[in-house]
Amino acid sequence: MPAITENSYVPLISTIKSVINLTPTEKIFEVELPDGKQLNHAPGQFVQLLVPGIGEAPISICSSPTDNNFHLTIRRVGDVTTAIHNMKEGDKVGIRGSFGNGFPVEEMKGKDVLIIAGGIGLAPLRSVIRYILANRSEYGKFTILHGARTPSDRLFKDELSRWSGSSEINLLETVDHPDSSWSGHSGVITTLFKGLAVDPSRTYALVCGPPVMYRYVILECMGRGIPDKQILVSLERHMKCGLGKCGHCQINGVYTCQDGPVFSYNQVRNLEEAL
Amino acid sequence: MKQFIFQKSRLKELISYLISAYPSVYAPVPKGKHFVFDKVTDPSIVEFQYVRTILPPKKYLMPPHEPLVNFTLKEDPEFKEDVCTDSQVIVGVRPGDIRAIKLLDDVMMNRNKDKNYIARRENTVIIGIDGIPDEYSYEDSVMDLKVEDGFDIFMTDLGNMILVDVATEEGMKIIDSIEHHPATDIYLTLRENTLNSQREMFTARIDIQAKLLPLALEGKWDHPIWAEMGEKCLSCGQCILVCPTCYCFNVTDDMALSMEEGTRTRHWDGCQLADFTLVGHGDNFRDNAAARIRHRFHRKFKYHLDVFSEIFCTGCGRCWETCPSDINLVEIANALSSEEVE
Repeated sequence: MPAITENSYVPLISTIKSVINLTPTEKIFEVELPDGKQLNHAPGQFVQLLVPGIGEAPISICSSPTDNNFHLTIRRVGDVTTAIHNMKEGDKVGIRGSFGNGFPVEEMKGKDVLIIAGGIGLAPLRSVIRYILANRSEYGKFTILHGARTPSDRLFKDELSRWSGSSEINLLETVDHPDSSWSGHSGVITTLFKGLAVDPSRTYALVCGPPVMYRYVILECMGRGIPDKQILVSLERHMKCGLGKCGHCQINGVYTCQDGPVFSYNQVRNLEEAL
Repeated sequence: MKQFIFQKSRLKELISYLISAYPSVYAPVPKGKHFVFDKVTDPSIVEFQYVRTILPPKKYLMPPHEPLVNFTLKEDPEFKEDVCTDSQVIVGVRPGDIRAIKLLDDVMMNRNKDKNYIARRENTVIIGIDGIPDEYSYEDSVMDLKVEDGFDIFMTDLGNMILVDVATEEGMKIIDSIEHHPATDIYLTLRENTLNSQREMFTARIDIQAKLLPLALEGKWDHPIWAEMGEKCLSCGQCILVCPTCYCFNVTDDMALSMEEGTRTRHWDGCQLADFTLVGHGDNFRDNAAARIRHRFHRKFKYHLDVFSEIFCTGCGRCWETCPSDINLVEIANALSSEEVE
C-alpha cells in the first residue's frame, strides 16, 4: 500500500471538513488530507484515526475513492471515538493508512454483487456500494440486504431511501425489533434471503456485520450455491499498528490489518478463530 | 569469518576498551539471585558465568517503552518521528538470544520496515558468548548451539583461553584492541568438544524434531492440553514479557502535564493478556486462557514457521522459569507429539 507519510508511525495531520449526525451514537466525519494529498484507498480498507493527545482507533473508510475527500462513520464506544464525537468542522485529526486489502472491485467487474450488511457493518460496505454506483455499468445485478436492530439504528437513512427508490439497486431491509414507525420487513437478516433470486456462479456476496451474523449468512450464501471464493467477509479485529506486527489483530497465522480485513470464505474456512 | 584466541584474563581489558570506545555498553551483571543485562561503566561487575538473564537483550533493540513520535498540539498539531541512532554494544549474548535477534530482524527489517528498530539494530554491535544450560533450558531441541551469524564477535570459553569468531570489520577493530593470536585447529577442535559436552547437559527436551511440530499440531485444536494449561494459567503475561522472540506491542499517545506536548510510545504487550484481542464494542476474540496459550504455542511453532521458515522459540527457558504455574512449552510439545511419534 502506498504510505501517505514516510514514517509508518507518524500520522498525517488532516482536517475535519464536515460532521453529519446519523444516530445518537454514530456520526460521519468527512476528512481532508493536507496539501491536496489523496488517500487513494481501495473500498473496504481502513485508516488509523488519531485524535491528538488521546490516541488512535482503526476506522473503516465508508466512502468510495471516487468521492471527494474521505468519510469515516464512527460509533461512540471508547476514548478515541468519544473524543472525536466532541470535535467539529475545522478540527485537526491524524491519519495513518490506508491499510488492508479492501474488496476486489476489479475482479468483481461484470459480475452480480450481493451486499449483506448488519448494523454498523454497512459503513465499510458503503465504500463499495458507492464505488459500484459510480461505476454502475461495469457491474451486473446489484442487491443489498440490510439489517438493523431497530428502525432508529439504521445508518445513512437518506442514502437508504435514495437507494430504495433507485432502479440501479435492489435494496431489501429488515429490522430485528420494529416499532410504530416501521412498516417494512422485520426479523433477522437471513430472512431477507427468502425468495431472493441469485445466479450463484456470477455472484459475489460481500458480508459485514456483528460477529454472530457471519455463520448464518455464509450458510445462506452457500445454500444458494455461491462459490466459497466469491463469499467475501470483512472482519473486525483490534487493529493497532496496521503493519502486520503488533499482533492484536492476528487470527491464527493471519494479520487482519494486512491480509484482511476482507477474506474470502475459502480463506477463513480453516482459520479456527476467524468466525 | 576469522578465528582468533586470546587469554581469558584479557576479557576485562576488552570490556574497558568497549567502555572507552562506545557511548553505551550493555553486559550481564548479577541482580539478586538472577542476572540482567545492564549498562556497565565498570568492567569488574560484568559476569559471563550465567545461564540466562531475566530479560533478553531485545530490550536494547526494542525497549519496553519506546518513544516513536513526539508531538506538540499548540496551534497546529505537529508530529515528529523520534528515531534513536546512538551506537551501543551488547556483550555476553547467548547463542539463543543471538538467534532471537536474527528472528526479530526478519520481522522488523523486511516487510513494512520498522524505522525505529532498524536504526537501533544498525547501530548495535553484538558480542556473543557460549553458555551452559540448566533444568529450564532446551535450546538444543529447537536450534543449533553453534551460531554462524547475527553477531560481530562470538566468544567460546575454552577455560584459560577464549576462542573468537570475528564476523565484521567492527568486530575486528574491537579484537585488535587486545593481544590476540590466530586460532590453530586444536582450538577449533576444542570448541567442537565444548559444544558437544554442552549438548549433553540438557535435561529438558522436546521429543520430536521441533520443525515437525506443525504436523503434531494437526487435528489438535481441541486437544485437552490447552484446557489443562488454561486452567493453570493466571494470564499474568510474564511469559511473553521475558520472551526473546515476542515482539507484540501497544502504542499509546501520552500528554505531558503542560497538555501542549506529548509522546507516542510503543509498549511491550502480548497475546497472553486477557484484553489483547478486545475490540471497542466488547467482543474479545480470544477470551479464555486456553485459547491464548494455544495461540502462543502456534505462534512459536507453526504460524511464524509458515511465514519465516523458522521456529520462534530459542529454548532459553525464560518463560518456564518465570511462570508462577510452571507452564512450559516443552510439556505442551511433548503432550502433542506423544501420539505422533513413529
